[in-house]
Amino acid sequence: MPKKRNLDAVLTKVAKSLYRKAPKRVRHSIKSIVIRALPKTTDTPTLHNSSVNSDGSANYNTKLPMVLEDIGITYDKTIVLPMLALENDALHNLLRKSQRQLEEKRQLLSEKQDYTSGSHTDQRQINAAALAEEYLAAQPDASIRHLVLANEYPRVGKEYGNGFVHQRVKQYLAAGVAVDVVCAGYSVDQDLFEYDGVRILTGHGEEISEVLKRQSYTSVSVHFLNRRIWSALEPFLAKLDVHLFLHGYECSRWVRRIWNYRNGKELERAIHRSIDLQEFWHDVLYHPHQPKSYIFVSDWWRRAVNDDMRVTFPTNRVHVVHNYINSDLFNYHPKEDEQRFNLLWIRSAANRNYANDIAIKVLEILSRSNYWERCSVTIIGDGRYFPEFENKLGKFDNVDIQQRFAPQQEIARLHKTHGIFLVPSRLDSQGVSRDEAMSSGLVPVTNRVAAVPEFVNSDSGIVAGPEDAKELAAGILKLWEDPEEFQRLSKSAAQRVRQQSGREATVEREMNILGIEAEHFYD
Amino acid sequence: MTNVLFLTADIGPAEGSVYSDLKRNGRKVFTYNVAGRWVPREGNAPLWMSGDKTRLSPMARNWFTRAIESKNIDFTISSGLHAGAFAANNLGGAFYPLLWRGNLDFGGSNETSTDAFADLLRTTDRLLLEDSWEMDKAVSKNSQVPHLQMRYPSPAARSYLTSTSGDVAIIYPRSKEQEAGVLREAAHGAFGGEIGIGLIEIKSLYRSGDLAKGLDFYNTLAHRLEKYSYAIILGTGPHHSTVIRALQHDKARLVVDQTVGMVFLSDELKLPHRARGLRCIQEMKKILETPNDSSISRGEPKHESPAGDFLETLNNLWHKDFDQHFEELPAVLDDGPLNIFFSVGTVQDLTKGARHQRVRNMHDEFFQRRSFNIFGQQPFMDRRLTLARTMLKAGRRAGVFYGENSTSPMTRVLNNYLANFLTEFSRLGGRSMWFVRDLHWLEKFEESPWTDAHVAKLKSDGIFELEEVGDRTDILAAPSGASGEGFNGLLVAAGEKERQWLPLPPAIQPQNIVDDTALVGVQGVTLLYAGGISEIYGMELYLSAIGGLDELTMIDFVVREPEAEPLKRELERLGLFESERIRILHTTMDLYHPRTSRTLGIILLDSKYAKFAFPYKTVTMIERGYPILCYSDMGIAEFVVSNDLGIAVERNVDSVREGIKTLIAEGAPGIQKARKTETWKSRVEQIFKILS
Repeated sequence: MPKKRNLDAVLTKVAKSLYRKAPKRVRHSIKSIVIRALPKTTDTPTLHNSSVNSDGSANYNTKLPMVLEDIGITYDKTIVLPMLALENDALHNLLRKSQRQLEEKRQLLSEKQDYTSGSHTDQRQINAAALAEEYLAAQPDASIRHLVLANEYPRVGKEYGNGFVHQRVKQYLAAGVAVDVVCAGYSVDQDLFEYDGVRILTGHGEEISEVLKRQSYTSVSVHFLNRRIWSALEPFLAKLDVHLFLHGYECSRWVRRIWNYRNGKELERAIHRSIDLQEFWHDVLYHPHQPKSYIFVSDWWRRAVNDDMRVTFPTNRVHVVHNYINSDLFNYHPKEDEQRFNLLWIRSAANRNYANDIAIKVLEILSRSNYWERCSVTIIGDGRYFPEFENKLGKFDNVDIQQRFAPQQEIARLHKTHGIFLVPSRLDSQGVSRDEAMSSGLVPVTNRVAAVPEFVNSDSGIVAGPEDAKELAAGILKLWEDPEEFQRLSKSAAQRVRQQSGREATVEREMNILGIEAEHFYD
Repeated sequence: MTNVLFLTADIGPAEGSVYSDLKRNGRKVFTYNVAGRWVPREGNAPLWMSGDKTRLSPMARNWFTRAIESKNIDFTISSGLHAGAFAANNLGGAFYPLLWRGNLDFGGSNETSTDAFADLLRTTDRLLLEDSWEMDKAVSKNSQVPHLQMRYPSPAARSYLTSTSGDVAIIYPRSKEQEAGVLREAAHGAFGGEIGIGLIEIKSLYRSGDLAKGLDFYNTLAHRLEKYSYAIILGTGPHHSTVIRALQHDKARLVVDQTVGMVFLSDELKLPHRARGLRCIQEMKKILETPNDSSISRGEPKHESPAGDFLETLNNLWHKDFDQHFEELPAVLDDGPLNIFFSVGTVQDLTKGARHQRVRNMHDEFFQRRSFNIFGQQPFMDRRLTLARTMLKAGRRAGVFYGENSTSPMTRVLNNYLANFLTEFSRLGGRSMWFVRDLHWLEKFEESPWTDAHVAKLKSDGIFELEEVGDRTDILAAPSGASGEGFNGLLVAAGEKERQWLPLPPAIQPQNIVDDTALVGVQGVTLLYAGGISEIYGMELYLSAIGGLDELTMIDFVVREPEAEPLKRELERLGLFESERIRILHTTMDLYHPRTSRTLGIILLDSKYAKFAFPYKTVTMIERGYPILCYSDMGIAEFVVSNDLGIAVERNVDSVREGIKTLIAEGAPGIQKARKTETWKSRVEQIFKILS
């Protein structure tokens, strides 16, 4: 054996030497041949068991295959983790100190720059003031007035953006609360528009200040807090009751979206963004007039944000309130046995957390079963990875693939004709679309990841380990074989959602926290 | 059984009393020292759990969460600032933070403590603080949560100083070790050799080892003090309240040093023997020499177990709602007219520095009238003016506002803020007085340390303050009539109008009064010069005069350390330095210990400043009982001469020498009277009388 290894080593050395000596054109050709000969790399994780550890947890080796020797060849494996963790902590402290100093200098500089290039800022401010005037003038008033701030809001043509914020606004309005909505972000234009009966003011953040200068509020709620919104709010914090909803993107670490990075540059950008976010949330939590409450959609998400942002949210300000599931819209009708063969997938395929690739794998496995012919699959959605459905499943006649946005009313109608909701996942802080389907009596088929176990268990759905498409498929096959079990899970799913995410447990509780409990509820 | 996690950063009597209360009430207590160990020791905490920063890291949070998982904790109490910060980071809240005296005594450059307080503030919705002084500190450090008065574990109703030995314990915090030594030396001289004097560092009355063994605090305290009959408690700190509360049944045999914090406690417990510095020894001597007071057999010593349930008290307190800016201050709880004590500078526990002492003494007297403190700094003004407005809006009558400026004017923003409040206060029927310490910004110095621009700004801000705030009050006050004249001179020179000034000189604090005859047995005379010897306080003439005095006259200089060298050089030049008669000391006046039973106070100031100023050392000399020698052209001359407090002399060597001889021969018969009439209490009475 040692002889063989020596020979390999010698051959490798010779090959490398010849390669280096070859002309550039030849080297390029060799490279192309080698690349073509290699197994095709994919930006999706492998779906085989190699990506799942023996304990069922996800295995990140496919994306970050790092071994002890990559850290250093002289370390014992027991010291590497504490070494990196403690150094990371010390670096964070140093970074914070340096950033504070930098910020002070930046502020001095920006004061000077504002002085010299004030005209642009002034114009934006003037526009914001005019828009705020126009916006407020046409807004209805009430004894309880609430301001909703967010990074974006749904609008015609972009309906996927923060639909659950819109659902909340509709609930507040229905309860007789006057609600104003202002959105701010780095790439949000100054605008005033209406969506589904709600008027929205948008811009870079000056609009928030202008609105707050002119109008007093019972309270303010913020979804997807960003620096723009925070800077605009800061001067008013001492006299405002501010409540933050922490949903996901704005407060999570880069590792939560590891499946999405296609190259090292994206990875680096994500790490930098995470560190920025960690510092930002530290500033928020340490502000002398920090928000009155931090609202998380699940307890798992609360713990995850504590981990991700390296902070500890004060327990006396923390609330866990799930997203409201409208059981009037997603009402439950007992399913017919045959509906267990009707599978539905409706989701964004914009990133890998929604695991469209696992869904594909599940359907591929099911396609080999004897029941496949009885089965009917509907797939509706959009996003970067959506075309993969067509590529992999387009060949099946019983798979209907529609690349489009489906409004809530239509989704509710689709729920009526389907029995199983295929919703594999890599990261869900709650899983609103899954809960809506459960509310309608669809049996969810999903993975035991992130907050999912807080909302689904084996009594209310099919739950498999992380990345485990086989187990998901096996669960569906079991339902196909056992209509009683399907009926039991369907009923139980609908019941659980009503109890856990119904109006009383969510909207009413949330409005109580925000101090906007209405005298009348839903006339 | 209730399980309590008790987090501490240090262990002393304060922690001992909490621990003992929890145990007595049947709680299972898990004590964790946030320096990285369980008490008693249990397993090994990782090394990083003891780092100032790493123990607050996410790893620490997760490690600690696992460490306490099996303990099924029902409640958590944190004792001290750093334990609070630990709980904030590693528990996320749901704990009762106790902040003891001194926990907030740190400057902005102390990053660890600054961050620790920020951690605590972001996590708790109320703070328990020992008294209004600690609340002042919390406000100054930007606390935005309600401040509640500390609740203490009920002490055992028992006596501790039960020994028949007659020995005296001087109980001191480590920061006062040197002062304790000075007092012990003075006590030996004053009490005679037969009385034993023991020094006890206050934290040693209950140690970490005692808690590890599960010892009861009160039994331990009794054991540690068993050989003493009397005690003097010096200084202040986190354990003082606990120890003094425990010793309240021994109060007839207890002298308590009147630091700022101890003033509040002494009032609450009605402690009869209060003093500052060397006066503590004199006060103890009085106890020892008065059989009725000193008899330790008077009545049966008390020995009853404590009652009450500290945890239950905290639980109840945390179930109450408070407004965000609420502070459980005597002034807030009172329902009489709202009286306000305003000072640009905050109260500091100092026994030196004219400004600090004046602010402190005035503050103490206003506190006796349950006044509300506001200091001319942010975030103080924001929070306290908001609370004052809330009280007035709720129907409290506006009473008396008394304000003092500082050596530099406030910013225009703050002056405007205060001026607006004063307008509202007056409109509601309140009456006000503004004391102007000095107007130095109007003076022209030959060698100014500031740039022209800075001088111009000072001047402009100073005038603004006088016009916007001073002129808005009913009465303007100055340190003396001469000061008022000086102020008017400066104002006129600056193109401003003259004002009417009420003389409001510094006064006597009875707790500072010391009679050296009680402390020093050696007959003779000492000449004491205390203060700066810089240009303003030039003293060549005095040094020349003492050269020709009787060889038996002792000569002491109490000066700041940097001034010792120039003074030595001057004494060497005059051939006086090697003389044993001369001492150069760096003590504070409350600890100044002369070698003779008689001392003269030399206040010979050379500058123009002296003509209008009322040097604070004038009252210090009266407190110490030292006849005063001053120049006849000084601002204090009339006060000194007309009250028989000393004599005024001409500015020449012979006159100074003759003056000293006269003072030695005649003394100052007016001192005893002035000690009764020229007190801070009488000053404040005067203010209320004028403004009512």
